[in-house]
Amino acid sequence: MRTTLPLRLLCGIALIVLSRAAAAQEPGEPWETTMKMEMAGGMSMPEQTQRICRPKGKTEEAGMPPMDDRCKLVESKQVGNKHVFKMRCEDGANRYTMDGETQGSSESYRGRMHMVGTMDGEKVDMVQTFSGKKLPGSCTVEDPMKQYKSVLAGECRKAMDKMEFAMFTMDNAPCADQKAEFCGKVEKKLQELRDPARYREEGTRPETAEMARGCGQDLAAIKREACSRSVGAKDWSFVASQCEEEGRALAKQHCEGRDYTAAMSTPYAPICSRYMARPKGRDYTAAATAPAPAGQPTPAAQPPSATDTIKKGADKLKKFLKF
Amino acid sequence: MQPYRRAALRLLVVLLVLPWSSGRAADDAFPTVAVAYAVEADGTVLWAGNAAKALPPASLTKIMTALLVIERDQLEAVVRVSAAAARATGARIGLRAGDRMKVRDLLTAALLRSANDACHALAQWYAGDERSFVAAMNARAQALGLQSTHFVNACGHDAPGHLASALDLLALARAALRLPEFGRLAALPSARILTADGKRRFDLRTTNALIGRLDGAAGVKSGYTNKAGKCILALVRRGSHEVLLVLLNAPNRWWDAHGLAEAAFAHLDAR
Repeated sequence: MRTTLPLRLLCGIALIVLSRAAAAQEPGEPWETTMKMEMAGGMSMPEQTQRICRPKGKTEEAGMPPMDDRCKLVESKQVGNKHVFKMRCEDGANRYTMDGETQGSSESYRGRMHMVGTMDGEKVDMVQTFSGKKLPGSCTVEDPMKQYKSVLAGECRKAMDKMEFAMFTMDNAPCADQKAEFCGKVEKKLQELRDPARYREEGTRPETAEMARGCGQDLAAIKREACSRSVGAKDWSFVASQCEEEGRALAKQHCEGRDYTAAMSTPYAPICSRYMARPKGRDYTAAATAPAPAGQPTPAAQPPSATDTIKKGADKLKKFLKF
Repeated sequence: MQPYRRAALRLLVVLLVLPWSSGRAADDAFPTVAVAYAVEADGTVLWAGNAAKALPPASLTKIMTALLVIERDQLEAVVRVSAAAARATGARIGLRAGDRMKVRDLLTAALLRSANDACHALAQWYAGDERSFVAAMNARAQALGLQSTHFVNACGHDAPGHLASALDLLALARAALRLPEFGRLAALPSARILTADGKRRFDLRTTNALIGRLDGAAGVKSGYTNKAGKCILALVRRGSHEVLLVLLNAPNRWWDAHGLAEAAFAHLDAR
């Protein structure tokens, strides 16, 4: 769930930036803006650079504290050319404060904002730094929706390259119009997982299960094929870790009734280890290593709040932009 | 002091002392694996059953023997094997009276093969006779705070009053493992030792079946006697994690020790 937090925050910040975009079709100035986010605990979003068209003479708004009806400005003062602000935001499960400072001129601006609190029940401690500089030339300011679509098109391209399923497969996904193309790629990728070595590498990742589910692919069938191949290739390590049905049968045949030393000295040692080294009592290893029954996702791959939270971020974006 | 205050203080004392002295603080998640057991992961006891109960420890006794011998720090000294040591019963490597062996080699035989002839030779070399050596063992046990432990012989033969608890054995193993030489010898899958004159050689293979079969198995000691049943004290290291477990009278000791180690690492991974 934590991994989705930067995305949600980025969505929120995108809203704020877009909210200050100008009305449609007016002369503007090209600006290059950068933004970087760092979260406590080592997570961060790399620096994002964008070229945008900003309305002429509205530079002073750049880098100003983001405002919406959830936030209350509790402090705002000008110190030299620096504007310092503090806000308190509250909205259901979201409670956070934002301290920041910005400074700028008609040619550039830069600033920093520190956000601390909880968002959807998760602790947030994030520092955002941003800057912008005016570029030579002129441009035409487009309406926010058009800007959004242009940015989104770029993001969808990147998401397609990186196989970011949530952008295509979740309900109301931002790139839903490219779902067919995305799922075509997914299908091709999943076919490769019939190879046990590839399955071992990628098949057990929760995102693979999500991707398959989102595209209506049967990952369990692919796993069965990988298991069948691994039995043929005598890849007992793969069978032990992934193939419950085959593993149990082989354990019965090659491990049961043999003493530890003998059983563990055979090529079937990984299977014997998996199915015979089971002290009676609570099953701690099952939760950690047992493959899920065919056709069912592993517990880790259950539709986690990942999708829900990303969806929430996108919903917020949509709600804000009213489309 | 008012009576209720005194009672509260007494209760507090009882509550503070209980988890440490009874061994009941840990969860008995595997009640049937052994008459007594304890599994410790990264220094914390995860699961234990009857862990404070004093039971025959069989050859896990030799962990104390080895601790004393290594602490004396004369591993290159040469020992003359007595007739009594050569007559030792149970597991042995076939030492003969008059054989001259290095202390380090006798220790290797005592730890790898659980050899009672080598163990007796060490006890006699250390203290002159077994009774004096046993006194040293009990003094060291006391110094280590092993309250449920009492030794009657040097090598772990069944004898009335020769007892140790699972928790005491874990503490003993921890103390021994702080000595690098103990850790090295207790983890060897096999070794070759020679008499001091080089005329006789002994090829030894560990009695610890986990070594080489369980990922990360790093020793320590197995044991068996009629009264003690099958025992194992095992150390398993994976990455930065360490699991130390002891099973006393465990009919299925290898499979169960293997499974308990896996369960402990799964537990650590899930944290």
